[in-house]
Amino acid sequence: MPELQVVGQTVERLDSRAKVTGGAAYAADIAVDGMLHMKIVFAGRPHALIRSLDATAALALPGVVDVITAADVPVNVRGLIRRDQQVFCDRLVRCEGDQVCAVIAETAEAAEAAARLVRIAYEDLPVLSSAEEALRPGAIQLHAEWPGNVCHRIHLRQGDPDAALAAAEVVVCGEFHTPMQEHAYLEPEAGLGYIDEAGRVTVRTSGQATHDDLRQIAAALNLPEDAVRVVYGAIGGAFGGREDTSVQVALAVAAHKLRRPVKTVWSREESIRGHGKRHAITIRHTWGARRDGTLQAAKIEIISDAGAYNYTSSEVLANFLYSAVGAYRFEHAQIDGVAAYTNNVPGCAFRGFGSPQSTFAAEMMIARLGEAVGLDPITIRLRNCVRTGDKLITGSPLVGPVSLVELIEACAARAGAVREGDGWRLPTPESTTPTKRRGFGIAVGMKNSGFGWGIPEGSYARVVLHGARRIERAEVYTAAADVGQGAHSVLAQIAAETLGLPLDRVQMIVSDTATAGDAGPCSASRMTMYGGNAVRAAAAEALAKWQNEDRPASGGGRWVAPATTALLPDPDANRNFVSYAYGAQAAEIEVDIDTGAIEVIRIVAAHDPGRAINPQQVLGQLQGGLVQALGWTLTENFITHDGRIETDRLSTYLVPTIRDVTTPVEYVLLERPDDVGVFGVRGVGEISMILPAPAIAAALHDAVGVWHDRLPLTPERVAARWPEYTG
Amino acid sequence: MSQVTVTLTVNGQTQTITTDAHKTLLYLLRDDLGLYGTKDGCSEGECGACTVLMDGRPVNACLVLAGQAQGRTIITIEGLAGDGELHPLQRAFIRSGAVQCGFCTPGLVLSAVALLERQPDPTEAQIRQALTGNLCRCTGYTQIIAAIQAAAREVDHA
Amino acid sequence: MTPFDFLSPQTLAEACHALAAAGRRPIAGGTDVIPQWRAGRFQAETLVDLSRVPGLSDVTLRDGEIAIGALSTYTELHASPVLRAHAPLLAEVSAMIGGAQTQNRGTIGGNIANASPAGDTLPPLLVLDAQVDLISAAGERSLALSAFLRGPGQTASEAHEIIRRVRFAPLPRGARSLFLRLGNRQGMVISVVSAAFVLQLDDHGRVEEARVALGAVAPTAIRCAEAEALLRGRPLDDDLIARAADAAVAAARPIDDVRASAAYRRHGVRVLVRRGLTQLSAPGGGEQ
Repeated sequence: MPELQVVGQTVERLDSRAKVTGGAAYAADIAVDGMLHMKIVFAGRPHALIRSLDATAALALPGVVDVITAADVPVNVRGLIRRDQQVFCDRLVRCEGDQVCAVIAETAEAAEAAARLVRIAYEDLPVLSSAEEALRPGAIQLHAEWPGNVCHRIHLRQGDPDAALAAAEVVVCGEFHTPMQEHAYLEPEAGLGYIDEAGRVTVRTSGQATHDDLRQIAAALNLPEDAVRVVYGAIGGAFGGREDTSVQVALAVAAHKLRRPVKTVWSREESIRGHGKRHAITIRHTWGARRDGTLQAAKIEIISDAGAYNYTSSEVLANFLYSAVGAYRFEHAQIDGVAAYTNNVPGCAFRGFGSPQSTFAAEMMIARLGEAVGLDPITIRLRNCVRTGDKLITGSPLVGPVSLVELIEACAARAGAVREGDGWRLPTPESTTPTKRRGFGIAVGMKNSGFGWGIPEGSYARVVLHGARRIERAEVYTAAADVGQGAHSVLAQIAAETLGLPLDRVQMIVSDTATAGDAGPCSASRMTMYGGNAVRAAAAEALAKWQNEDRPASGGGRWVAPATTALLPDPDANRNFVSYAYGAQAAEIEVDIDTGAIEVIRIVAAHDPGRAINPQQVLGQLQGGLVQALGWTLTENFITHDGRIETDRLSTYLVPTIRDVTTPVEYVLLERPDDVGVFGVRGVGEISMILPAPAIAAALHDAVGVWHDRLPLTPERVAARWPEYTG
Repeated sequence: MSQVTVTLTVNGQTQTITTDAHKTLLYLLRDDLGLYGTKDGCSEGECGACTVLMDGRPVNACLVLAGQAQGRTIITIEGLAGDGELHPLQRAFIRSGAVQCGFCTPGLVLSAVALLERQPDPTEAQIRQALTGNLCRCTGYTQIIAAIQAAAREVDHA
Repeated sequence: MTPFDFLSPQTLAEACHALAAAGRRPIAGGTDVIPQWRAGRFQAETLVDLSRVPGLSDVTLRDGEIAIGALSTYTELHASPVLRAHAPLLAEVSAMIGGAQTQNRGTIGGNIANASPAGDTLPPLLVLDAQVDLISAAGERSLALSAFLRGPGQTASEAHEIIRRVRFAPLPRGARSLFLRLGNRQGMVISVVSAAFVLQLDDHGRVEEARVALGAVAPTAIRCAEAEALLRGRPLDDDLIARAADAAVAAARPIDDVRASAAYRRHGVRVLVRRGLTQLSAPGGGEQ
């Protein structure tokens, strides 16, 4: 490959100037003349029948224009994967965040006051507050179409795990519980619905995939897709939580009915009730191994709380078909998983898409196995981890170079581990405070980039070159969302590189279904990899036409990603993913044995971005994911009780503050270019999120000799397991 | 609905505004003055996205009533760059990669401005103390601390 | 979020007059009032803003007494030379409440009036034996903080009364003091357990005076009379510290909530009292 000019450089992001001056317009920052204001009326209860809805008093309030209900929605369902949630509930409420109606008024104040006057008579029903409860025989049924409250099941069997486990020299077991996690993006949901100049029902909002939003709106309104438009402005974070719709369909219904612009802005409490969460999952493992630590067989059960609606629960569970075994080789395995409908807030995508949960459990297991067979944590991992040419547990070949061994060794060495004989001698940190203990832990893992599983994938982009003798300006059209990760800037770098132009001659025309086809969502660490491929292909085509004297020269269309397969019965036929990210992280912690407080003293994070398009932004993704994982591991304790969310504020749901992130993180970056990603990139959006929890839990075990199998590691949980606890 | 009339100086301009008595400074800035750079992330003083400088000190605009801003001098993120020239902290946030989604950025920049005015060469601990009330969910904070340190060096050498 | 009227009295007399009418409540820094109003837990037809009332934000030491105007912000308390010299634990705790934005607006009068069991200035004020001065159109009165605090969000003041100031004697030379707390994160902490101590030891390490207060483990911040009685007159050794911690645990009446269980809070009381007293028993520990 010739030397790269723009790719690989840390350049100024296209959006940062607007963001530091206050000029970037987020959804709540849009105001237009004649705009109405919408207040959604949430059910606010986990399970109930709606006996009646009386909007008379609300409609009588001065300034109130309308109260829209289920009757106003032509096809009253929404859902990204499965259309199983009503836009407005007409009969049955299944979670607190269900939307029952919306008041539309001339002012936000009037809408809010009127919302309190809508009289809804509910008959509360018994509540299913956990997946275990929902799966019990005789449990009440939440969705008639999904008997037994089974939202989704997975099953995989390779070899003969029962016989292998019976014959195994060493067997270890564990049961792990991981909690819900709130995305807590700083920008609460908001949007503006209106009819655009071409008569399209338009929603300007924040999301992760313009075209996914568009399809749900068009379906609900029973309109052709070209009669709908979705536009994103600046987006205040997403992390998976904006893959599903929140305000989109309600705004479209209102604007379509009233033919006036309609704005809505959610409060933080509404945001926490109104969008999904990382799934709470219980994972049970039984592993069999040889006395030398070589893994042979695993039997794994996964029980996931899907919440009231599917959102992406089925897909998150499906990823356990490979990720349940961690980044390890097994000959024999059985994986059984179920996602159950409950009356909790729906489980949805969140950075890592199930891998933080699966990796936590698998890494706790390998740590336990190492202890059982007397191998150090590094050696046991190196003995069993996947290598180039290996296969997933499904039989799918691990295409591309597998850099995991290299990453583990680099991480261990940087963290201060030393090779000794056949193994590694680990750092043995000691606290100087009598009431504190120090410990060291390591975790390794992998994460697919791209959806895989046979889902048709690709990305649309178009490039138009303007100028006469030289290219004065390159327009890049992409509908890709920039959720804050810098996608637009990175795509601009890719265009500039391909065209041989300086960056300032590239103009991005973005995030509007009216100007570009479907780029696919910003999820699964895929946008740079696939969106970037689309932009490069479009730029190359435009450049060829330019050289052919086209003025302006235009190229592009849908770039199609290499095909994958669903889980197939024949292991050799499986090709479930085409790209992966790998990583290894080591953590040193200090725990206060009296209070249970954990301080993370140091982290070493070894990752392989394939190729960094913008090194500073790669570090931003890695650090951001790592700190979200610190929150999930230590401070973020999402509490529900009988389907009711008790941590609905940022004063009760504790994301890390700048005082909580004092840990110096040393990054070891190895760039081992991937075959599929543009310019060799691998996805880096999620990988750093999946490792801190098991690394810290391993360090905690090293410090106090106790395995903690339930997250978060709150001070109370940690203190309560210490012998001198007096609570 | 009862109203208050408030005279205050925002970004150097003295204005008199009549608005709802129960409105907060945050919505006076956003709705009455169209200064949308001040963000609403929680409306209860937990996230710092609405941070503005009131008489030179960072406050959560969501917890100040419009009437309480009478006679006060307010600086919002829009008032920081002079004549198109970015404030050193704004430049440093850009250069250090301290901006991702950007929703927390205006508040963080203003908290940092107040810090550097009192403490031109802050220690890392002082930076953390000054920014405790500003949540960021994207960056993991390291690049923000780096930006403030870089700006402090720049101001110091200017 | 029902709308309210807004009044901005310019003098203390005007403020008293304004609050004499029904349906009126005071607001100062707003850091508690506004979130509670949003959540529907605070009702008033009219909010009376005290922030323009002069003379309510001084910290003075006069005639052997420290007086803190109710409108003093946490930032001002932290910077106060008087407090740093004579009540350092109050200066220190003021830098531990919320972030800079809260410290610039939140006031000591507000922290007292809000009467949260977890209010972080309250245990320090209790061990300082603080008096609360109230004023209204009907006159003035003064009562001990311990009598003023009645329950979560409940105080002995009437709706028309304003907290004017809080008073206490400066800590004697050689007194040792400390504030400790447990929380679930490092920044923007709401205390899960807090404890404040004032201790005077004689030349032989015997306790002359002991005051211990706890926060977030009872309906109000509380003094631990039994623990204090146990400590007074005895040498401060490990055994006495353990017994004092037991007594403090017995005084706590914690509840389970989203932040922690009652059990962890009881454990936390033991840990903090043990740690606090141990720290103060060390040579020079917590000394002014």
